[in-house]
Amino acid sequence: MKLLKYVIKRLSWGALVLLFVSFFSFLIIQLPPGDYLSSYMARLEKSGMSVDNKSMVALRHSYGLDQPFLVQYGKWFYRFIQGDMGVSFIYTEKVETIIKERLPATLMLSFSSLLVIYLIAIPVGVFAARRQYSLWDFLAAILGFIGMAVPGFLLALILMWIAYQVFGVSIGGLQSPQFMDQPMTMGKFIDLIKHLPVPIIVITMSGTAALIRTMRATLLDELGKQYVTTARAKGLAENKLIYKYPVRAAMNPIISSGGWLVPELFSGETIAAIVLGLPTIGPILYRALLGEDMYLAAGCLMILSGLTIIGLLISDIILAISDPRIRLE
Amino acid sequence: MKILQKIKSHSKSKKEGNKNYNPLYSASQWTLIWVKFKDHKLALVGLIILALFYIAVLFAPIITPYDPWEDSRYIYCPPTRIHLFHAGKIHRPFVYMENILTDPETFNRTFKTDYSKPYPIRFFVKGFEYHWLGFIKGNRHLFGVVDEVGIHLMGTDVLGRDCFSRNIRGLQISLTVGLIGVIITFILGCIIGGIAGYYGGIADNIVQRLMEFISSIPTIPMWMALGAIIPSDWGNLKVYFAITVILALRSWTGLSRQVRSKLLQLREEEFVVAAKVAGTSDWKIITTHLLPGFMSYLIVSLTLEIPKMILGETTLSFLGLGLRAPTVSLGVLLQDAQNLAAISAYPWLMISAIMVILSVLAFNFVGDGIRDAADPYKN
Amino acid sequence: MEDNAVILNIENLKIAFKMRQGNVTAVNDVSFQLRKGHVLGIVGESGCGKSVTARSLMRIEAPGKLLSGEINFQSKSLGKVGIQRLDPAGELIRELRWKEIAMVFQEPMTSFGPMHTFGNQISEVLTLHNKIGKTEAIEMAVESLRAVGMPRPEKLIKQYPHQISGGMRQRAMIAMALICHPQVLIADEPTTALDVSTESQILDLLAERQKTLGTSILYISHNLGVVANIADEVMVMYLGQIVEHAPVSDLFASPKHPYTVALLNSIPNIDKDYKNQKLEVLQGSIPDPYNHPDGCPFHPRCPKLIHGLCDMVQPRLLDVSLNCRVACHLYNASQKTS
Repeated sequence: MKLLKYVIKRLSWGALVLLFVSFFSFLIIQLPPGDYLSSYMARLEKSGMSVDNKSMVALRHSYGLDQPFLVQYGKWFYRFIQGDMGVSFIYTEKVETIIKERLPATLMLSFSSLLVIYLIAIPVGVFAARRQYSLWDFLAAILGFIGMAVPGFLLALILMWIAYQVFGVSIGGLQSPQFMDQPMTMGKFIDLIKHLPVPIIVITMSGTAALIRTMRATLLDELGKQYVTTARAKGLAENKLIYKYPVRAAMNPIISSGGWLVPELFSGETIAAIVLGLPTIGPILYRALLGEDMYLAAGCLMILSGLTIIGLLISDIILAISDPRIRLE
Repeated sequence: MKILQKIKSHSKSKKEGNKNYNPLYSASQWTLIWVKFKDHKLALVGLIILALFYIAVLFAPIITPYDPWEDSRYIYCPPTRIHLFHAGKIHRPFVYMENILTDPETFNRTFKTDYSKPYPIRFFVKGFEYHWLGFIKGNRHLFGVVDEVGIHLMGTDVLGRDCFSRNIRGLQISLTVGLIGVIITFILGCIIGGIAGYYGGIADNIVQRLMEFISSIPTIPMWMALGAIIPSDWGNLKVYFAITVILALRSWTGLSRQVRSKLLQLREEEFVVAAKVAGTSDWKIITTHLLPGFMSYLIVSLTLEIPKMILGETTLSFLGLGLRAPTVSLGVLLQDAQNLAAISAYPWLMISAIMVILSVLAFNFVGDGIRDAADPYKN
Repeated sequence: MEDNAVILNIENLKIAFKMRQGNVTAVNDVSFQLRKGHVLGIVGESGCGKSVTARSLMRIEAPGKLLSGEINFQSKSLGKVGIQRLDPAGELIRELRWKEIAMVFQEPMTSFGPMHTFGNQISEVLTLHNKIGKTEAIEMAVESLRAVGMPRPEKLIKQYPHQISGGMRQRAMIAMALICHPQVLIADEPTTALDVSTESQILDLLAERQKTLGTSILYISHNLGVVANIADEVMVMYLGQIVEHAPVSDLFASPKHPYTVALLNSIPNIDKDYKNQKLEVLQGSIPDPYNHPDGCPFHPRCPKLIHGLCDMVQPRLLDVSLNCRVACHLYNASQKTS
């Protein structure tokens, strides 16, 4: 079956890309001069303690930090694909445990953001195209400005500030302290929902703005095409024919926009999580990079890239299914 | 100028409904684009804002009354108010002395204005020394007041540094990072995209895989990781260029995709085949035949990449993985904004945010304006 | 209804568009009739208003227009209808559309929606107008495709527009247009975008369908040769006005209006001996649509121009002989208005 072949082909490409990403991640983790141990040593020395060279060398050896780069990479990669992502120096825990802990929140946030973007952008884009210069068009334009000009972290800060000033509430994180580590209950769920709007607004703002613009422009394009007149001449009601024909045709670039939207979402989520203190992978990557915690940093990069690749694959598959021109070429 | 005359007579002829006279019929491509661009109100506004910003940035040391790195004891001062009336009578623009009173128990600071003596604002005052454009020594500044008083148009920060001066300097860094980054993007994008589009086949495949690989790593994590590589002992200038390269490493993919697709399209066109048959070298074909055709698209792309770079640099510097103190960029300045309590109490610290937003909007408007103006199929 | 009954009566139709630079009168006082079973050809250069006239019959002319005059249609379901009075987005006109007046468009490439199968798009009109079930509609769609000579219509039903050629798409378009057996079929330059051999096939198809179903056809083209093939009467339009209207044989045998004469002369004639002459070409070009010339719209280009008359007084469309009308001062003098 043609679709299956396509999926397999894309999966194998994805695996290859992931291989490159692994090399790249490990490389840039290793690039800064020194490693965790040397900065750890420097920190110790600053606080007045010192570690003698012999034990330093021994430690280095036990962590395998004294071996050539390719050997380290090979060992790490070999273990990685078996699920052992190494140990975090900062958290003194296995990397895969840390990541597994954070994965559900990451996925949940990304997925809901994607949903929100499509649910808002498509109708608003359609309205904006059909009623040019109307309230919808204006709204779409305003959203567009905010989305394109306000950096994610700034938006997060502004929203936090508003909540602080206006509501006297300190928002941050995905869950109020009393619900953390508790099993899921209705109360916990509602609390979760209450905390979701701000992160989602921050993450989705630029994507929604861009998608509305795409929808509006594409639809305006399609509305001028001959087949819309044909449909009208056939006697179809205006509303019905708009959705059946031009909107349906305009959906293809929207779906294919998933291609850049997915990495954009993970990127936006990272910065939003850092500023708002969300329990996702982003803040961990941040801390790992600042602290030269190489296994953790590399692991986070790999996971984020892996999720992106899977997301891109899904979006390509959906596009292939939905557009008969691609499916049947 | 001839162009101005042409435009003037064009508008006049439009008004009189004289349709037989169309001076734009023979105008050059760039004249036409400019005329259309003017119609785009937002783009014009953007252009004006950018012009103002870049002029301010060019004359930065001259128009700022204070050294951006100089501490003072006037911590967290609100923006100085400029008055025109003293004791009921009009006066040349001046400021009053602000006395800082610290409550000894709560450490609350209040400002008491001393209305007794006006301190006029003087122009071309002597101030801190600077090296304009790197080699012109000077110490004259556009405006200022005597030493005892302060004129802080945007207030001061935690160390008493003048925010106006710091913001202008920050603007300087942020705006130029975008420009240089975009030059690197242009070179990389043209070369790589050009090879892929012109030669096709294997070269194209490799380039596409490369672009796929880069796009698979989400932007900000990638920038963060690259930013973390920069050794902490590198000098400001080195770090600056490293940041521009890091930002460009991501954006070249967009441009190269455009170059590639346009070239793939155009190289099948007959005029290219004709040129090949006539013996023109590949390089000449690309530069004289193909490139001019989509120059305008490239310029639009580049203009729209600049704001992404500005946002990238701002974000990175905010996270501490980009430019670092003592370099002043808008992102570095915004690090102060993390302290919510501070912002509530001293909102002028957020002015840097407004400058970022304005620059980004301005570039986007201008880019949109050029794109609409250069589109031969519009109107 | 008897043959030759008038089913479409256009009277003094005027259509203007409001543009930024002013008003454009696209159709300027046009009157004609379409009879049952007849084929009326409308010929003219681009911009002469023939398409706008045609589209106004179904009220799908572009928005921003001002309409005056009458479009009287003898509808089967609604009786005598003044189409100009119907709301373009209303229910009544939608009832008439396709079911009683259908249209074949110029661009086979873009006339069908790209995301739906032929089966879907053709059966759509049946479920909409004839209120029949989906399966039955699909069957009728298959039959209609067979009737226009499509090979393997059962397969075509499941295919998408981009999968077949332009000529085949135009056949499908014709099938779709005629499936409800409309009284009037408007063919707006249906073969302009096709190559010559496909064009002749489509023309044969249209002629055959017309004879079988007895549909009246309004055939719009800029190609006189094509029109000569298929039409009973021909109407020549220039700058929104009718300049000549005659039975096809009369028009080609003895064209009256200088414009018609020029059009006919500019067609290369295989029997004519040109020796070293150049092909006769019409002087000048179409005037600015915002600024029509005074008097006769054709006068700036007319070789038979009468100064003082043609450039000041608008000639009226008058009968010259049986069923022949001309709008030209050359013929006015010998006629008196009735």
